[in-house]
This record gives sequence, structure tokens and C-alpha cells, in this order.
Amino acid sequence: MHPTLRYLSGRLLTTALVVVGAVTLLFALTLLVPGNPASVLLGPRATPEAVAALAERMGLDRPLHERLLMFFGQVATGNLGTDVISGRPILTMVMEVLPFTVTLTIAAIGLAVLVGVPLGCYAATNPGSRGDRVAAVLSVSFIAMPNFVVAIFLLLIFSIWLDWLPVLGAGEPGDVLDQLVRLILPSVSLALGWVGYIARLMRSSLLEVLGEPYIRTARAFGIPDRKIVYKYALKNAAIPTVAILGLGVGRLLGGAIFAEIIFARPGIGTLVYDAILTRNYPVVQAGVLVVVLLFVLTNLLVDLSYAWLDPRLRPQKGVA
Amino acid sequence: MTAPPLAAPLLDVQGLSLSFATARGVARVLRDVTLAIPRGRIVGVVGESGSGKSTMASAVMRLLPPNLHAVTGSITLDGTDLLALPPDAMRRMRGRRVAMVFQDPMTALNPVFRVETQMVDVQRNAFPDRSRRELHARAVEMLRTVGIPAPEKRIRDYPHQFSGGMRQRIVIAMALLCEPELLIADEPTTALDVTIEAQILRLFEDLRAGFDGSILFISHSLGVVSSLCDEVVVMYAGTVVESASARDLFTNPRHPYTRLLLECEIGEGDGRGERLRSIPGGVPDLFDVPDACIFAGRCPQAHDRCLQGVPALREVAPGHRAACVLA
Repeated sequence: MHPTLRYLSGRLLTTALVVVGAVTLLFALTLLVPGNPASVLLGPRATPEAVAALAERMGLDRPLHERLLMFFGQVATGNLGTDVISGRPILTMVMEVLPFTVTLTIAAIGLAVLVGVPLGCYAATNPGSRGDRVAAVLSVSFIAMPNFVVAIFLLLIFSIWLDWLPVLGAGEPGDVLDQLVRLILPSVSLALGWVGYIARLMRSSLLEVLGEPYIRTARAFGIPDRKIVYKYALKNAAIPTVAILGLGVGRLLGGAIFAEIIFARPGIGTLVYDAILTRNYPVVQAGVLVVVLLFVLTNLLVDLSYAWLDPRLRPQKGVA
Repeated sequence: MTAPPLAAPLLDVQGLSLSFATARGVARVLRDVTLAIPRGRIVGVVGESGSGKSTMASAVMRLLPPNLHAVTGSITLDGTDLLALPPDAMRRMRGRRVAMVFQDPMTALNPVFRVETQMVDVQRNAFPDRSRRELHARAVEMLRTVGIPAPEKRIRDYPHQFSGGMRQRIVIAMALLCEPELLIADEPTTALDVTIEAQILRLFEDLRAGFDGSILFISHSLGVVSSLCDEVVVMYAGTVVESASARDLFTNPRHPYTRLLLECEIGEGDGRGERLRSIPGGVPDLFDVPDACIFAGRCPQAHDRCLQGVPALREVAPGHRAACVLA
């Protein structure tokens, strides 16, 4: 088999194993919650008949291994069942709000990279300067602030006091400008900590790379400083940042819950949050499952991007 | 600027002193170093570790570490005082006027770019008007010249796909592509094993014919320098102790340090159980340099006069200079 193909299939296999593990854990969720999920869902005043009927509809009366298999079957076919409260297919409910969360996460990551990377590059190329120290203080403050606090302050300052930006919601459907404007505060509140993180990481890895002998070689051949920093050093220094970003997507998806609640945006976060409040576990499972899948997918992409960034990590046929 | 007379050396280093600020204090790494490289010649610089030979080369390139404390003296390349150049003008000198090959080929090439990218980029400074295709073709030809097999294919590879010797050939090819007037080779074979070292030395010898610039060849081994260089400069603890034509230096060394260095190497590798010779004592402390001959502490012939001031580098025979009161 071609080494690239073998690498890819190996990587896909581990990804599949992670997904299987995650699905099993999600299944265990229904076993771990105290009480019968059906009675929890229907509340204390439900009749035993109603509970039994719902339990049967949810398949809770079957043996454990059968329920696990059923759950895997549901996940595999994408048929996640029907929501007992609204009577709508759960998958549809998740898919309706998924674009909002994905947009928010991409906007936050994009913002963090677009601000953090140049900030880190500036700090690394001017170490010890006033700008570097200001960037350091800002970065550490950004990292230290929990993003829900940032979200509340942003809301207070820009929506309530200054009245520059709309307060709540994701914007009118079809009105792209309105949607973009309403994306600003949530994505900034999610991105701010990551700006600090990426700036610090970028600074230290770029400083390290700039001390490498091959950078000295590039200087010895008169290659301009800008090209050395932004071409020769940046690609080497990007590797740790990309690794952190892979994990960051998972954290951002989790952090999106706060931003979505505070800014009253639809999304996986609000969906799961509301489902938890109503003890609607099938919806919680579905929401978390989608987040897990997104996370696993991003990490697969990150792993593949390592090979793009660093040819030494590519599968080799042999070295001459 | 008027062109310097033809007899003027290509590189003229005059009274170069240089110190670094360290946690222990100021280290006077180079003191009053004077040497000249005539056009079209290969000059070897020999000395043990810490003698300042690499620092001297870095000073010529103006690629000194940031803890540089002070520099005095002058480094003149073809009439231009390099130490007086603004940074950007110095950058433009690098590559097309003076290029450098480094000691460790394993780390000298950028691991995440193809050899092709790096070989094309180094030429941009020297030949800004040439097309990428042209620069690529030159790079392939130069790889062939330095002995990389199937260069049109291998140029697409990454550095880690080459062995150490091959990588050093690539770095040498990069330097030659810029057609510099001065090529500095800083111990280009030290990191390689003996057979590869011999191959790279042969490559330098072969290149002499096709390269009309001058070469400053740094080595810790007199043996390496002897076969390759026209002239040899011996450095010790940050000063030049002797300089002469290669033949004069080997047949008639005048400085006791050079003599000891030659004896050390003659004893090398005859494999008959004779212990390797070494010079007793260690390299002197550069934080507290005495006002005396820097080698006096280790010199078997040292006497009172050696402790009365630093001996000047003076001509002891035509074209042969030594910094020793006894020479």
C-alpha cells in the first residue's frame, strides 16, 4: 500500500475508535442519571402508565446490550429518534442550530488567528520593546479573563452603554449584514482569550525558530528580514499554534454555550442547555454527539495539516 | 568610489577587536586581528575551539550574536568598510558579495521547505531580474556541479531526505549560485565523518577551477588546510599568532604554538599505540586577558620577555608573519 494511504487509513481508524468510545460514553449518560429517564422527563406528576409507555417508546425496557446496539444503530444511520417534547426529529433540531454554532466558532477562531498571530510575530521580532511588553500584559489579561465575564462586559459596554451593537439574537434570517453584526460581540468574547494564547505561543515559538541555524543560513544569503520571518520562520513556528488550535476548537465549542446563552443566540450550546434544564437526555446526547464529531473531525484535519507544515512528519518511502 | 588597486586584497581585516557581554563579564573574544585575503586565493584559518575563528567569520558577515559588546578595527571588502555599512546595505552584500557555508549541514537548511525553494530564494538577492524558471535551471545545474545525482528530481526533495554530506553539497551549491566574491567556509567538514569529509574537501578542490572568487576556509585541522589553501592564518585565543603561505608554514613554522599544533597532528592516526599528543594547559581566560603573550602560559619556550607586553604580529620572512618575540 502507498505510505500516504496507509497513514491515512491508520489515522481514520483511530478516529473511528475515538468516536466509538465517545458514543459509548454518551450512551452511559442515560444510565448514570439518577432515576428512570422517562419519569424524569415527564416530571413528578406523571402517571406510572405514562412513564411505562414513554419508557417503552424510548426503548428503556430492553436489555442493556440491545439498547447500546440500538444507540449505535441510531448514530450510524443518523436517525437519532424523535423529541418527546416537540415531537420533531432530534437530528433536524440539531441541524437547524448547528450552522449558528459552527459560524460562531469559525468566526472566533478566525479572529483569534488574525489578531493573535500578527501580535505574536510583532512581539517576537521586537523582543523587549515597549510594544512587546504591552502585548505581553494584554495577552495575559485576555487569557486570565473567563469568556463569560468578557461576554457580559462587552454586552454592557457596547450594547447598553454605547448602544453601538445589537444586544441579542443571531439576526434576521436572510439578512447577512445583520447576522454579521450580531456575530461581532459573541465571537470577540470567545476569541479574546485565544488571542492572548496564540500571541504568547506564537511569540515564543517564533523566537525559538529565529535562533535556529537555518535562519542564520537564510540571513547569510541576504534574504530580507521580512521574508525570513514571514516565510522561513513562520511555517516552522506555526506547528505548535496549529496543535493548540485543534484543541482550541473543542474548548471553543464548549465555550460557545456561554456566549450563546448570554447573547441569546440559537446554537448547539443553547439547545443542549435547554435540554439539560428539561432533562431531555436524548437531545443532550444528540447535541454532545455533534460537538464530539466536530471536535474529532477538526483534530483529524489538524493532524493532516502537520504533515503539510512539516514534511518530516510525512510518511516516507525511504531516505537517500 | 575609486576602484582599489589590483594588488589590494579582496578582504582586508585590520586590527579587529571584538567583545561580548556575558553573565561573567566582558569576554574579549577577538584582539587586534589582522589578516588579508588576496583575490582568487584560498586562505585557511586554523585554531582550536574558542580561538575566535568562527567569530571572525561572523564579524565579516556581520552576523554576530546580540550580546555583542564592542567592535573596533575595520573589515574592508573590495574597498567597502563592512562595519560602517547600514544594516540593509550589509544585507544586500550577503549572498552576492560574501556568502557563508556553515559547520553543521544537518541544521543549516530549513526543514519545511523544498531544496528548490531555498535554492531559488538565495539567488533573488544576487539576480533580482532573472525569472524563476531561470533560477531553477541554474540551481539544478549547480546541484549537478557539486555532485548531487539526478538533480532535476532531487531538487524537489526536502532537506531531511538527504544525508549530511549531500546537505553540505547543497549548502555549498547555494553559496556558489550567488557567485560571491568571497566564500566563507566555517569548518564545513567538521560535522561529517572522515570519508565524507574527504569527499567535501575534494569538492572544494574541484571547485577552485570554476570559482574565481576568494575562499576563507576555517578549520581546526592544519592537515585539512594544508592541501587546500594557498595561505594559512593560525589563530590562538582571539589573536593571530602566525600567517604565511601554506608551504612556508608547514616547512618552517615560526610560532611555538604552530609547531605544537603540527606535532599534535603528525601524531594523529598512525595507529601504533602512540598516545595522541596534546598541548598541556587550557585555553586562557578571555575575561581577564594579561598584557603579555597570550600563549606564554602554555609555551614550552616561554621566558621573561614573553610577559612584557603583547608581541606584535611582525614580518619574520617575506610574506611570513608571526607574533612571537623568539620568531
